[in-house]
Order: sequence, then C-alpha cells, then structure tokens
Amino acid sequence: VKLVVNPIQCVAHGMCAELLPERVTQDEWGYPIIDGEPIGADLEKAARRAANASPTLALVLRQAPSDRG
Amino acid sequence: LAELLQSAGVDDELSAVLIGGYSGSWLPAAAVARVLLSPAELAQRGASLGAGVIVPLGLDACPVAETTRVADYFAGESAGQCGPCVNGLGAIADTVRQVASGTGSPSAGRDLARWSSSLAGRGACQFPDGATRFVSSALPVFTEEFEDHLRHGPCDTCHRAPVLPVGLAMADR
Repeated sequence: VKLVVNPIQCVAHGMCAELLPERVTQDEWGYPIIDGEPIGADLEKAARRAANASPTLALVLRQAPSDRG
Repeated sequence: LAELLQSAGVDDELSAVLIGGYSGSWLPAAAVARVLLSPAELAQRGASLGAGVIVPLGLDACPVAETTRVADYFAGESAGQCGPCVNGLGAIADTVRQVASGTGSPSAGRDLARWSSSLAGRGACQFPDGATRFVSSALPVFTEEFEDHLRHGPCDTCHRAPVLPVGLAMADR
C-alpha cells in the first residue's frame, strides 16, 4: 500500500507526522512531506491509524497496483 | 538553439536563455552553442520545450529583477487550494524580493533551494512544479547576480523595462 495526501483537503493539523514519523515529515508550515515509497507490512497498521486520524480525511492509504496480484 | 536565436535576429550578447516559458528552465548563455533543441537533449539538462516559448536574456537585463517579478506573479496566480503552493510560492516570492532589494537573510539561497525542490508534486495540480522549476533553474545560472544583490542591493539594470512581462503587460505583447 501507499500513503497519499489529498493536498486540497489537508490543512496541516499534523496528526500524520505525529502518528507516523517514520514516513511523514512536515514542511515549515506543518504540511506533510511523504515519500512515495510503498508502506511495508511492518508499518501498515500505524499508517492506517494515521490515515484514520486525519481530521480532514486528507490522508489515504491506497492499494499499490503491485499489491493486487 | 544558436541557429534558432540567430534566425530570430537575436545577435546581442546573452546572459541566459529561458526554455519552455515561465514554467520552463534557464540555460546559461555558455550552453547556447552546444544545445540541440531536441526533447532528449533538453531533458538531459533538466529542461523541456514546455509551452514552446524561448526567451533570450541580454546582458542589459537584470536576471534578479526578472526572477522577482515572475516569482511574484506565480505567488499571485496560485489557485490557493493547497497549503504547500500557497505558503511555498509566497515564501519564494518574498525571499527573492528581499534578495533583490539587498535585505535578504544570509540563509536566502538555502531557503530558496529547499523550497524549490520540496514543492514539486505536492499540489493537486502541477502549477507549483512549473513555478519552482523556473526559480530552481535560475539559482545556479544566476548565482553571481543573486549574491551581488544579496550583498549590495539593486543593480544599475534593475529598473530597466521587463524582458519577461507579467500581468497586464503580458496582454500588451
């Protein structure tokens, strides 16, 4: 799975960086910077939690094409 | 590229050439004689024909003043939908303007390089990608000019009529 942010929905609450610091950093205005790498099994639960915690539902876990088999 | 400029009647000495319009990239004048206008070769230099607009910048124009106006225009044209674009293009425009007027902070160069590399891909559209391509390609090509303005403020050519028109002046052309 991949973590993507909807930049229009995002208003920089910063929950994602708080809950998933392994993969999410913030710019100086608090908006997330997420690398495009797939999320491994070890972080998937934490990533899901971060996505669910986004107050504006701006963070989405997206199934990567390669996961679909 | 040299042939194209020649056939367009450009025979002034140049400081740089903008390839691909305002969301394109600057190439230094030294590259003009060597650059073949093919997508592959331009891609190697981080450029593309983009909007198909090519602008030669003469030695009598100030690249810092030109960059200031275009960066300001970009900041004003953001649709205002995404945080990285609104904040990032605003910060870039403010910082370039400060450098141009000689009131920039010593970290201005680093800040501009960071913002112009971190905004691309973080908007819903690709407007910030093009805007930062313009600025990030200006930095290495016009390093001396930016440093000179940062230290000494406006230069003798800052006040000249813009080569790159913005706003209403665009329609006039």
